[in-house]
Amino acid sequence: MNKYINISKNFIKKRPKDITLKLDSEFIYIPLDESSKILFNPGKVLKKETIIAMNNDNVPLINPVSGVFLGIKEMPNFENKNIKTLVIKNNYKEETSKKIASKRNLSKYSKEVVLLIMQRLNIKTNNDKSLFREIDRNIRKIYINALCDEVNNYNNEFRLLHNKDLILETISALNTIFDLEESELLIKDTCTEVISVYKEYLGSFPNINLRLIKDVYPISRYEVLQRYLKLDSKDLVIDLEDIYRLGYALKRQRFVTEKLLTISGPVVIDPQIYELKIGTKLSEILDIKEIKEKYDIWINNYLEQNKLISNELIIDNNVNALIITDKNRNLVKPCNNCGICYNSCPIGLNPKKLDQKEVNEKCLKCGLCSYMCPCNILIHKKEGISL
Amino acid sequence: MNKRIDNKDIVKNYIFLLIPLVLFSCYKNGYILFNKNLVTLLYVFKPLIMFVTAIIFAFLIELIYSNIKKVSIMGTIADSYLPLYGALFSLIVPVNINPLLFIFLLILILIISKLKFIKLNTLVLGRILFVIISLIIGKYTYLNVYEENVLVSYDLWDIILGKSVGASGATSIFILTIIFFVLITKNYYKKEITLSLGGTFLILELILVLFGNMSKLNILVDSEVVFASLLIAPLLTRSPYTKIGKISYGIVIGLLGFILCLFIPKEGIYIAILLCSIFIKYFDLLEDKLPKRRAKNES
Repeated sequence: MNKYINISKNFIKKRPKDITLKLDSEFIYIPLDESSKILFNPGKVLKKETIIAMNNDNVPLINPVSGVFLGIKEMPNFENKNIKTLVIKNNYKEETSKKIASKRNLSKYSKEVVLLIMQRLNIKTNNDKSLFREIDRNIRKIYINALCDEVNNYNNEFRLLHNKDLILETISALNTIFDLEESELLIKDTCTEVISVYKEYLGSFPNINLRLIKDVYPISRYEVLQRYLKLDSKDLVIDLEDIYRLGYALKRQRFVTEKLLTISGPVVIDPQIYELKIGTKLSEILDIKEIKEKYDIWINNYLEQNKLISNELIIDNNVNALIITDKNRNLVKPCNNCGICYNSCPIGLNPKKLDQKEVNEKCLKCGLCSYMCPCNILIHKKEGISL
Repeated sequence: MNKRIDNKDIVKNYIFLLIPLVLFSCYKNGYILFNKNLVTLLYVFKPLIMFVTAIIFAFLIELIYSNIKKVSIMGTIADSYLPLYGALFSLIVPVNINPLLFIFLLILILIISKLKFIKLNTLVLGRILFVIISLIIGKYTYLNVYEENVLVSYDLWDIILGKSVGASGATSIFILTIIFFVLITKNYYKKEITLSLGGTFLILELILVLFGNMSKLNILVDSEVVFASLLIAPLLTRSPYTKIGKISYGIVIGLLGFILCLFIPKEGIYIAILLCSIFIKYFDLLEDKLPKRRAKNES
């Protein structure tokens, strides 16, 4: 049995006060899959929420603003890799072809329709997008994963507080649609505000349980959660943001075109949580050139050590937080064979064997081994002195 | 990174834990002797002086090393394991060791420890060298001045409380047990080695007792064996790190050490550790050969 590690007490937490709207991006960059088929030619004026491309799995790429489709451009993604993106110039008209509609009772949807929408939204259950097809058979319980590993990422907390009605209604509807007795909403036991608010509201939703989870790292990963809660294939885990997107689509029959981004960290005086268009370029909300000289900026999670390099980063669904910390000045020393990395791996891998394909594929890249390493070796990145 | 633990924390924790052993050694090998007018006041503090000298020499070696290699002095010294090696070495040699021999062996093992290609347990190497040199010069003994002059016969309680004959810091099983209970709470302590080694010793002792040889029962309560099992065999940098590696390493040392202890009391366990430390890498490789660890995780 692995000993779960609580890292949050080692970090200074900076909580943003409220959500700041930044929905006026001049250009929007929509990441393009290799398999995607573009449905329009450059120069075409597109309305908001138009399906601009479709991939092999019939997952549509949605245009989050109304504007002119300019063409394809390579831009850096969350892994600092240059990927192809579709560029849209915003005309700020927010024109949409769909009328704003609202469905009062989400439970009235049929199972087939919900499954189709889940597929269209590319919703993953149990970390596998193909598993949702099995949602209609032998399902015991749905777990809504509202956990977050980065101590300074408040997206889920704000989502839970600001969209509680839609989230609870969607979970309750899923229970009815899929004939489930109950679902569990997983929240960290440190989110006191969310807990107190939801305790009041959950009385109206008897088929939803609030489950408080210990603040250990990296509990939000399905592989770790599965072990922690002893889940099997009959238990489905769906991320909170996916529930929100599904609920939004069911309720309003529209796609979510905005996302939350937390900018925080131990050195940030005024932490922010932005709501912005999916596909916004980072430079439109933050100039990192000066910050980078004094501090390190990490994408999503400090422990993953995925450093922000470019000002041009595209904020898509994979970018949830930017964590700003002091420059890393720790010296890397040769491995001392202490085995702390081995003992701390949440899924029981041997981090010193990450060069083996089999081990590397299973690795969560959570960075816990590197964080625990007393020699400061970036084990999960296979950087530093040879092990 | 905002580290959870650093090399210097590990070394610092270990050294603090060793201090009770040093103080007890000052009492057992110094204060008691001073009361009987067998030694001078300065001699009372000899274990402490050896302990501090070893740490100072470790820093000096690091200083020279960083000058030769032209690397950051502070970075090297702050994260060095040499002070721990030095401190432990001062505890595994007898208090009556010749000071020059102590300094010579200390410098030798510290230098060898800095050589990356030598993966042996250098502390044990130092102890074996001490034994060999002592035997050559005819001064191989762990008795202190008092023990040399009187006929001592210790009962079980004396042994447990630390009045037994042994190396400077390796006489009190009671203090060693407390240290063990503190160390098992630390994630850097390789407790599997200690537990498997101790378990093997216990089983072999019981087998021996069942076969009627009661006289060998004292091996289990030999403070040297306890010291080596608790602090030397699981030495952080010179032992396997995988679970299977650690357990098998402990078992092999236990088996080999027990057999050797029957013939070479006090040194058997150290010889076993030295021999096994040659194959540390292979103990870790056992993980690949045996069924996957934590098989439930593979599901």
